[in-house]
Order: sequence, then C-alpha cells, then structure tokens
Amino acid sequence: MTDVILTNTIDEMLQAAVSAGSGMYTGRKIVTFKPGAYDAGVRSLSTATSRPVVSTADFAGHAINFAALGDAGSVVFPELNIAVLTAPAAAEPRFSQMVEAGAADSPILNIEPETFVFASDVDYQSYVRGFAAAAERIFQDLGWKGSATGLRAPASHEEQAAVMATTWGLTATRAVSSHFSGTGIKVAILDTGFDFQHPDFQGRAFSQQSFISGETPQDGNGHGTHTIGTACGPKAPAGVPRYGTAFGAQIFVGKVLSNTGGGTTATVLAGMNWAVANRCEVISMSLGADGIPPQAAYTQAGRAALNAGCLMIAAAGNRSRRPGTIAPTGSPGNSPTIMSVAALDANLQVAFFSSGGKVESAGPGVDVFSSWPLPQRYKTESGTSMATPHVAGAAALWGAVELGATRSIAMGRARAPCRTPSISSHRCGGRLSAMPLTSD
Amino acid sequence: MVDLVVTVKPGSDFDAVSAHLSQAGLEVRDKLEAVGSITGSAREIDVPRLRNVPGVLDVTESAPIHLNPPGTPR
Repeated sequence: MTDVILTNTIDEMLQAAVSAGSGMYTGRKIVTFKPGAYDAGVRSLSTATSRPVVSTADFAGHAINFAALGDAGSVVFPELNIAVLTAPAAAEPRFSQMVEAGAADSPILNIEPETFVFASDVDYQSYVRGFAAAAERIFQDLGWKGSATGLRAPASHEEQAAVMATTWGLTATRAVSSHFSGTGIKVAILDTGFDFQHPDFQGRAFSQQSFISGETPQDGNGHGTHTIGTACGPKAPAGVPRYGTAFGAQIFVGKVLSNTGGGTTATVLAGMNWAVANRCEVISMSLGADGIPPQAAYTQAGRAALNAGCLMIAAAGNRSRRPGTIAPTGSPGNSPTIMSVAALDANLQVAFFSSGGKVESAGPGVDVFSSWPLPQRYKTESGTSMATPHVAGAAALWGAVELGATRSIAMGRARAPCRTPSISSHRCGGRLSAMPLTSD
Repeated sequence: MVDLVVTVKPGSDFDAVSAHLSQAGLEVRDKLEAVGSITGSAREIDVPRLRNVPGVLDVTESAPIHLNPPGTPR
C-alpha cells in the first residue's frame, strides 16, 4: 500500500485503500491527547515520529490547507486536543514503543485509525436497487432458477421498521443499527414521572425524585412514561416493536410536572438541579412555556450543566401551524445553553405544529409508539415532546462512545451528523443520527 | 405573595446571597446551587429590593407550564 501522507487527496487515499484492501480505513491515525496534555502531546509526537508537526493555528483562521503540509508527519488541532498522523509517522518504531508503553504519564489518551466518511445524502436506495438488479441479472444469465435476492430495498422508514420490528423513529435515527446501548450513561427525564410497574422495565435500575408536593414519582398522567420509553425503553419488548433508544442507560425519573401535566419554572429548576448534582450526562425535558423570552435562570442552569459534563435537551414546542405560522421556540428550549428539538414526520418533513426560530436538532415526533401506564401499556402520541427523547436517547448512545472524551466534542457531534437539512431555513442543523461514525 | 426564581451571579457566595435574600424578604423554598438559582416567594413590593441584593443576576416570577391536552400535539 502506498504510504498515505497528509497531502494526499481523498481520491488518492481511496485508490490506495482499494488496492490494499483496507476497506474503510485511510491508513492515517487519529491521536487524542489527554485533557490538559496538549503541549506534552505535541512534544512527544515531534520526537517520536522524527517528522515536522504542523498546527492548524499556523493557518489563517485555523483553516488548514492539507495540500500545503509538505513532508509533515502530523497535524495537530489545538481546539480539539487531537492530532492526525501520516502512515509513515505512525509506523515509526519510537512512536510504536511510546504507544505500547501505555504509561500512566503518557500524554496520549487514545489512538484510532482514521476512517473515510461519505456524505450520506446519496441516493443509497438507487444504489442498492442497482446492485440487486445486477445480482439478479447474473443469476438469471447463469440459468439458475428462482431469484438471486428475493428482496428489494425498503422504500420508507415505516417499511424498514416493519422489517426490523422497530418503530419508524428508531430506524430514522438509526438507533436500531447502533452498537451502543447507553450503558454507563445516566439519563434524567424531567416529566410527569414513570409507571414503575410497567412490565417492559422490570429489573431496570431507577433513581427517582418528585418535585411536586403531595405526589410520588409514580406517573398518573402517562406523558412521562411515554418519553422515558422512547429515550430508554428496552431492546426487545415482548410482542411489540422496539421503541426505546438507550436501553442500557441508567434512568433518573424527575417528576417536575404533576399528574395533571402542570408545573412551574421552580419545579423544573429543582429537577434540573437534582439531575446536574447527580451528574446525569443527558437531561431530557419534554416540556416548556410558550410566549416568554429566554429565562436567565434556565440559561445559567444550561451553562452549569455543560460545565458539569451534562447536556440539557428540551422540546421546541407545538404552537406552529405550518406552513402559514411558525411560533417561536418555548422556554427553556429557547435558552442558548440548552439544545432544543423540532419534530419530524415519517417523511422527515417538519411537523406542522413544530415551533421554530431557535432549534438545534430534530427527531421523530409524529405517530410515535411508546410505553404508557398500565393497564394500557402502550400508546401512539405526537409532539416535540416525542421528538426530544429520541434525541436524548441518541445523545446517550453518543455519550457511551464519548466516555473519556470532552463533553464539548459530544455536544458538537450530537449536532454534526445531521443527514437531512430539511429545516435548515429555520436555523436547525438537521435531523440527529444516533449512529456513531465509529460503528458505521 | 409571588413565586420567584432568583438567578445568582456565577462565582458569588451562594449561601451569603441566600441569606441576604431572606433578609430582603424572600421566603426561600429551594437553594439550587448546582444550577445557580434560588426559588421562593415574596411580597410584590419587596421584589425591587431583592433585585438589588449583591450577587443577584435576575429575579423573575416563576412561570406556569402545562402539557397540551391528550389528542393534541404534546
């Protein structure tokens, strides 16, 4: 295989990968430094690889030009605390020795092979159909009876969901394809509580607290049981499609809305405080008040959460009547430190009711099947309340990937892998994918 | 009496601010240090005094939240 260096074009790297049979790997390495060990990491790369180290800070506006890197062995990204190494640099014996030493005082946290990343808005269905047609043609040309595939590409999320025994929402976020379960991640859902008798959740570990005077965390409404089901429901519920995203996450049930669905800023803040104090990495809030500006208390709470390694996610609200009227995002989702979530339908179009203006993400929010208190067990609901736990569950899957990395990267990733910029005109980054690149 | 949310400036002595708020007329309900706010109630006439307590960033009335009724987008 041709040694892949920093000035190679993508096409050159792809050709090299194809000829070497190295699949999705480029041959370069991504080195993540330990927090605070950036300077030591750069020094160690310089000595261990015997090649120049270039920083993105050397380029105007930190906009790196790979073609201008010459014979550099590695390029470092100070804002991200990472470096990219060429294949020859990574193969240097001294670098290998440094990695193998695995010393506690090593500045390096992690080394991963760099992978190719492809735009996923390609027409993969046409590609799969073409592939199937070609296979069918070869099969028939050989004179064999029957069909080579007997399959066709699923045409919609509903069809995929039927095949995979899952809800359309979990195929749309690709949570169902994720290798991660959210194990090790604490997810707080601040809502109307939970039905702790639900058979799909027996044996799960819960932490629970009510912030409503005179009411226990037991859900007398249903809303909280539904949102918790989407965020953290089981991998294989008996007799119904899979509807839960982060099935391995630890669930924190914070009751901040009463059994009649009412609460106040004070009860929500009390729940936020409990979730942050317990270091819940993901805090999901399918709630809000419409028609009020960003609240200083929520904005500060969101900042405190981020500083503590927690991500607050809130519903955008349901007051729009698109296409004619787009209502502004409700509070707390309108605070700049809190991620707000719009609702999409199964065609990945913004739901007519989904509020807008300040939106960072979007999730499945129309005809969402999830758990409901006994004796009903299950119910299909719509709203940004249903979209929010899809994003929260996906964030928990990301959190499982990112354990050990910085939270800012996790927040960036939660926004980044959007594939359908269908609501970009309303400042939304697009739909969130639960599928980490590392498991693509 | 009005229900209030007081946002405390980051870096302030949280307990000292809470004590000053009590002296200025706030009946403290919850001290929420992990998110930097204090909830409680006070007479409307005392709200300007609460805003002037050192270390206070904001004083706002606690707003009601209601889920939409079943059968509508939630």
